[in-house]
Amino acid sequence: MGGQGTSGEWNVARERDLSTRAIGGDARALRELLDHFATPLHDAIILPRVGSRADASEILEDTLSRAVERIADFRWDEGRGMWPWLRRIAIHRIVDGARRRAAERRMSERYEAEVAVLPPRIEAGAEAEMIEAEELRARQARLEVALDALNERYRRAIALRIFEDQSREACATALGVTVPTFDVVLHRALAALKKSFGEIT
Amino acid sequence: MTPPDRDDEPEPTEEELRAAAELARALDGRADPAPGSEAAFASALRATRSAAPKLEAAERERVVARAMTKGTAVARSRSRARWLAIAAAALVAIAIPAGLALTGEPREVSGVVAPSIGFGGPTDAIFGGPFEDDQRASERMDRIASTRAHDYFAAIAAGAR
Repeated sequence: MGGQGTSGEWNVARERDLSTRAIGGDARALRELLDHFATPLHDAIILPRVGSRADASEILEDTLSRAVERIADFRWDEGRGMWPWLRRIAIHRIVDGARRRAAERRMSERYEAEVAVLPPRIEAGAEAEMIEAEELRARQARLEVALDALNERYRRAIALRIFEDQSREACATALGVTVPTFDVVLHRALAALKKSFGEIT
Repeated sequence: MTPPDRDDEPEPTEEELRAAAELARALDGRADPAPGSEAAFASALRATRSAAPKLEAAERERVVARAMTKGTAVARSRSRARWLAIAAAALVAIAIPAGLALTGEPREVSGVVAPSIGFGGPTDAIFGGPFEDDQRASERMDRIASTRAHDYFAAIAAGAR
């Protein structure tokens, strides 16, 4: 879980102090901040949007690297600390990657929606675990709304295969169809969910 | 692959059949999910629903270390480029007035006012009348230049006194 790279209690005063030192060029302070936020960025922001662990790791590195480059531009937010700034950088890196892929296939206005989605309210000085839990909770709530909008058959196909990780054969039997038909149903179910939930949201 | 065996499910297209097979392979771990594919989306859904830790401590340390190195290098090169731009601008700001001073109006050095290099005037005093037909252009120019140079240095000498 998050915060494994930092020792001692994490609070507003510590986060503010580290941020001030980092802006002033203290590499150790900056590294401590990145260590603190890396896990929630990966687990709650990047991986749930890109799916692939390899891509998530690459985008995380890109995000943190961009934060190092731009630390002088960061302005401390008394209420919310550094998290919204890092979160915004991560979302932009994900959107940029998605745009590059879309350029090869098709552009989607849904990418713009991701940038516009309001993040959950997280106070400055929050522990990494709390940030991750809040972000995932907000995202899960949006996912439930999108799942509810699907028809029963599609919802069931996704639940069995994706969330319960059952075999194709078991899923096909549960739905009363052949395995190849189940494959098509699942593909359509995911495409429909992607459309309502958002390609990368 | 057989078509869906329900009446309310439309016939799959060739592209759908291909994508469905690709999705099945990726979900079974027989192929990597392509970025932006339904399989990648399915992995993202799993990551959203699952509360299990996903970023290992060792991986986090590696990523943070690489980001620090990369980000610092980029920031340094950007800072260097900014200073070079400032230095170039300062150089231009100095060079332009200096260039104008060297090639422009007469200036005073140590109390001596240098005469203009570009002065000229009629050549009657040099040749004592119109050019003769047998005088060649190069000879005329040599004589004019020589006379003007003599006058220039005489003016400097007079100014110094």
